[in-house]
Amino acid sequence: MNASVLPQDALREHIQIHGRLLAEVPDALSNLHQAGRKQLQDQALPHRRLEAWRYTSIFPLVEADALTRPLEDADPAPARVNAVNQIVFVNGLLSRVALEDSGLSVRTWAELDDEEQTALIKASEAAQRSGEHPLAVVNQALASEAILIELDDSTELQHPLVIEYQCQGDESGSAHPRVWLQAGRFARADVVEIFSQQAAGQLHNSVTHIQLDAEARLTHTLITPESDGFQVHGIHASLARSSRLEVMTFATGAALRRLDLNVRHAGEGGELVLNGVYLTRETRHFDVRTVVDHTVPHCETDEIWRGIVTDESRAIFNGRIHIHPHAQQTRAEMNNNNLLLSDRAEVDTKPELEIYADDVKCAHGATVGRLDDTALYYFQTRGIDRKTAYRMLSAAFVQEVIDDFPDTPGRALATQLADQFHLDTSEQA
Amino acid sequence: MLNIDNLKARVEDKEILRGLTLHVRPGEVHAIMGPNGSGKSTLTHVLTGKEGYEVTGGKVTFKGKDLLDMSPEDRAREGLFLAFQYPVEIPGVSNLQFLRTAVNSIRKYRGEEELDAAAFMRLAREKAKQVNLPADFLKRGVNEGFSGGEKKRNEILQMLLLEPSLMLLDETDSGLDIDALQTVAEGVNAMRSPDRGIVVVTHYQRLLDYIVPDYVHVLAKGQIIKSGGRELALELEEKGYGWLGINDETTEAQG
Repeated sequence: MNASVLPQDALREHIQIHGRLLAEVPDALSNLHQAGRKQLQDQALPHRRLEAWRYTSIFPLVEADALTRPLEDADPAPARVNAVNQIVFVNGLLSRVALEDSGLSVRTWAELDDEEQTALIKASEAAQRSGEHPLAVVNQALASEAILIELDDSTELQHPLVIEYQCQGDESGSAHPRVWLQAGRFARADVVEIFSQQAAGQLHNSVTHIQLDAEARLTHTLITPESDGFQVHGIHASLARSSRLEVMTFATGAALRRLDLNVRHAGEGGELVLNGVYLTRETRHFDVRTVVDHTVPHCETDEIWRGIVTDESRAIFNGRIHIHPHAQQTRAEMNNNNLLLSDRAEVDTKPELEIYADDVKCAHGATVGRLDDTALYYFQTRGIDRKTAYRMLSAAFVQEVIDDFPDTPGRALATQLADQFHLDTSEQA
Repeated sequence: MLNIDNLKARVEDKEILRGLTLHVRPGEVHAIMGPNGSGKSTLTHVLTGKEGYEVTGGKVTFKGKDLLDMSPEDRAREGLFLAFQYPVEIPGVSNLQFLRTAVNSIRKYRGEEELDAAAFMRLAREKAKQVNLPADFLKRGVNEGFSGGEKKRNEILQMLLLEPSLMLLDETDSGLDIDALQTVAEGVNAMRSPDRGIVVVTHYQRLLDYIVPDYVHVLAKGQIIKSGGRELALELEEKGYGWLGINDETTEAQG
């Protein structure tokens, strides 16, 4: 690569190369790709001068050539958790769909009629129009597969739906799976999205659109294990009247990891819980940006994020809650607390409230601290060695958030990954 | 069992202990009294191994072993227990989990079998009753939101569970009303036995009405300047520290 080329320009070139590869073999996804490419023309790609990308450089993506080609089709590994309702993607391509509960259906892009496709493309464009989701636009332009998951009205899903995204092989390249999840009126479901690790040089860039109709209730648990590659995931959710969404995230670090969680309160009486835990170590990176829009009155948002950041890792929390002028009687709370366990680690935290209505209850806060020496000493005077004390104290910091996750295989997996992290990092105590 | 000989220690550049000697034999109760800044808290923290205290002279043996050479956790496992003046709040770690980890660390060190959750729960409930702590305190975070008296009773609960051979009580009476003081004292007295030693560190003699000492020592400027029987505490109560030529309240450093 020519050193004088800006990374975002190089990235655009890589995307074009990838796009031409896809266009050589037209398939059912071509109309989705085309619409995406069109949006991409007016879309600024991420660079460090954009506030939303200030702390995360896309240079490693450029350097690894991750975007110039798709990941090859590959055989699946055994699923991480066994589930009655299961969808598995491998390298961005749909590998397995097994649904046992009634009222739940999955269709691929090819199985949708023109009208449905047009509606979904429109919905995506609306969500991406702000210009703040460049990698979601890239996902659309290069989509590896797109599926529509539907929960019929009044369906109460008996078992969680587990969506697993695997990356196989060690060749560099990128995968861009896209999911639309629509929950009908009064539907109830627990959904878990589990990501796998990526090999160095691999990019997994996924997007999940969530649409909750009136009175629907959905929990959505995200699990991202440690990775040597790049992972980007965007959630774009819209909540109709009196619906409730819980998005619970368990995240670790990757060579580059970026989560964009966007929720729009579009109907009165909506409730949102947007909690997360992140644990980063070594030289890994984690960046989460949450944007919640209150556009109507009488909605609630609760957001708690706890992070433990150690070694030479870096974590970024940027949370924004935007209360629009008509959103009276909004209640919104956002907190971000960090344990910084190494002098070489870095946390950047920026909770933001933007309020344009006058009758609202809102609060936000952020802390960055270390493990309390007095607490460690207290444990020791009771015969508990320093390593165990360190492990118990760091676990205590995040476990109460994980304990609030809905009871799905996601919570068990998060607990297991967190325990391993605490055990490994306490070795340095 | 505890032999402190000519102990000298400093915090940063400030010399706090200046040659302190104290011998505690099994079964004895010693009270160390002294004004603020005399070195009382420094003594307890040097004995338990808190960071930030530098020992510059003297030696301490506990059951014949060099105490100052041990990690804080090994001192506890050998049977040393400090009841804190200000017990630490630890949200997120349940009292039960904390206590069980502590008890099992010590049992393991002694080569005893670790207690399972059910067996420990029974034991903890029984001991909690003894110090008038309702059982739901076991489920709460360690000292989280406890009142001053509840924290001190929780310290005594830990002491009852860990069954130390030497107990150091650091200003255990501070912040306690009479009822709480009595409960705490009963807990301590229940532990009195011919093979245990107790060192009560206190500014006032009030606690000594309930935990009656065999010996009373007056600590001033990092040394024990006078020792006697119980009557010495009463004399101090009546006459104040000025009687011994010690300037109370004016000393700037908190021991």
